[in-house]
Amino acid sequence: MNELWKHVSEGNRDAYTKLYVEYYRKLYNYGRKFTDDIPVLEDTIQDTLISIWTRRSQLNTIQNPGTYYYTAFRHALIKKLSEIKIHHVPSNPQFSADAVVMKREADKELKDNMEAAMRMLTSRQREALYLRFYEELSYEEISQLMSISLKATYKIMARALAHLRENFSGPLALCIALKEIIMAVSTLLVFHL
Amino acid sequence: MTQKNNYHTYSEDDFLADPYFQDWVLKPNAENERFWTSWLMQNPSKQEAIEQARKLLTMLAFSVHEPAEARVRESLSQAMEIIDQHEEELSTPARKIVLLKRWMAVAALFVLVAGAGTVYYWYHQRPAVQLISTAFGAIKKVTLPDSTYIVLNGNSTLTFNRRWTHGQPREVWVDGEAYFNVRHIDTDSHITPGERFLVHLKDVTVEVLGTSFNIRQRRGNTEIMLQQGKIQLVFNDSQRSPIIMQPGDLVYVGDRAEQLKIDSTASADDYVKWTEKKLILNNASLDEVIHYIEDNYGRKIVLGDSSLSSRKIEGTLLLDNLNDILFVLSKILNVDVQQQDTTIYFRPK
Repeated sequence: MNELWKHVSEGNRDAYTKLYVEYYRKLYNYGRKFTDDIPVLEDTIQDTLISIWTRRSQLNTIQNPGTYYYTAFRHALIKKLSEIKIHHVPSNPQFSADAVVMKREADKELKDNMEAAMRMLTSRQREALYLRFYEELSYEEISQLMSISLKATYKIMARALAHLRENFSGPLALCIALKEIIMAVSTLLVFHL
Repeated sequence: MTQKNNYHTYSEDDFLADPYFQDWVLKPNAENERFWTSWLMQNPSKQEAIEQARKLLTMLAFSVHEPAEARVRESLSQAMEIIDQHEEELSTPARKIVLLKRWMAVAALFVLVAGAGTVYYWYHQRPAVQLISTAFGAIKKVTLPDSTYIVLNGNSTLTFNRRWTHGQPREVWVDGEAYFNVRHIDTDSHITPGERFLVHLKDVTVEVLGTSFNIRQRRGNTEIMLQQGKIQLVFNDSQRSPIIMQPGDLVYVGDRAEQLKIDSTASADDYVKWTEKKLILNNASLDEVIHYIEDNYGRKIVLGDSSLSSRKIEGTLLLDNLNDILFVLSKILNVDVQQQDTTIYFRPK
């Protein structure tokens, strides 16, 4: 991947084409979590990717061009989305509530509970989880991308995972089972009265 | 990711949030595998916590959104078009851009049908000489093929050859006002033809060696101000011997060539501040300011009271748009400003 960036910085259009296609897909997947306004999303992706070419001469000076352009994209997209005001109140783009899910093989009840818990996470918590466990970025890269301190990144991640863990362990499953028993018993009682 | 030494104090939540633990669970390799399996063996009490943490992490999933392949391809070809147009615009006059775009659209269609031969033919049809001109009040920034940077002021023209041959002097022609920052190629004191940079004006040619300077050619007079480096002025009138300028020198080429010295190079910087859209006025007469506005904005200014012309103005004038400039002047001079077509009248209140 670094090879590709290097070739682009040297003005290789072939390499740029490959980079364009690859990053279009990645940015689409990422940006789509912030909005379902496809035209705005596609415009922002195209602008970001074009700037990679027009500024290719400075690529050599950028440590981590992937994260650098992810950051530029995120910033541009959020700025564009924030400009849309509803009743004069600027909207605050959120990382989709359905972005974080459980794997399909999970037990159905557990899956439902966990996904309910996931919807209760904050926008930044969901985004941090996505960047760490899907995009596989390091904590440092995430802090750069989300424009927060490294410490804040750790905090957000820890809170998100702790919240999920609370809903993952045995006690909840037990509570649900108990609840069902109580309901069953009370129904029985009603019919027998 | 480095391992910590206090894992034995960790709760399930701590393991969950630990980057090294996360890496092992999701991206196991020989190294972290070795570490964690041996650590687990030495700390069996933590097995439960680690097992739960591992289970949770492995069950995390994310929704995936994929764009249609056709959309990706479409975006790519659109982007390439925009890039080509942008690179075309860097050396194309504003007036001709509309025509060029239509021409390019036709050429593209033609290429699709006919193939490589047509592309070759089209490339060779491109004109060799570039002419860039600015409208009144506009500023254009131009980068030449050798990376020389030029800022063209309003109502000015820059002409140069699109393709520069290696080994030949670089040449441009200027009418109006332009600021130059010439790319220095020369590496030793011996100057080869290819290292020369020539700026042709009406009656003088400026020979340059990697420098920044300002050329102002208005109303038949030429002012050349050197900011940095060294330049030589060669007069078309062979009777006059060439002048070599030093930084801070301002040469006035009119009926008689004069060399004037500016005291400090800070003044030289002030002289070229128009490139940043600021006009620095150091005890400038209103006449000078009026001439600057007329030359660059294409208006005629008439003073209702002739005593105004000798008024001196001190300060910085922001050159964003003409109306703002006129407003500021009306306040400083305490005059009423009226515009009729392209004539502006200053009348004392």
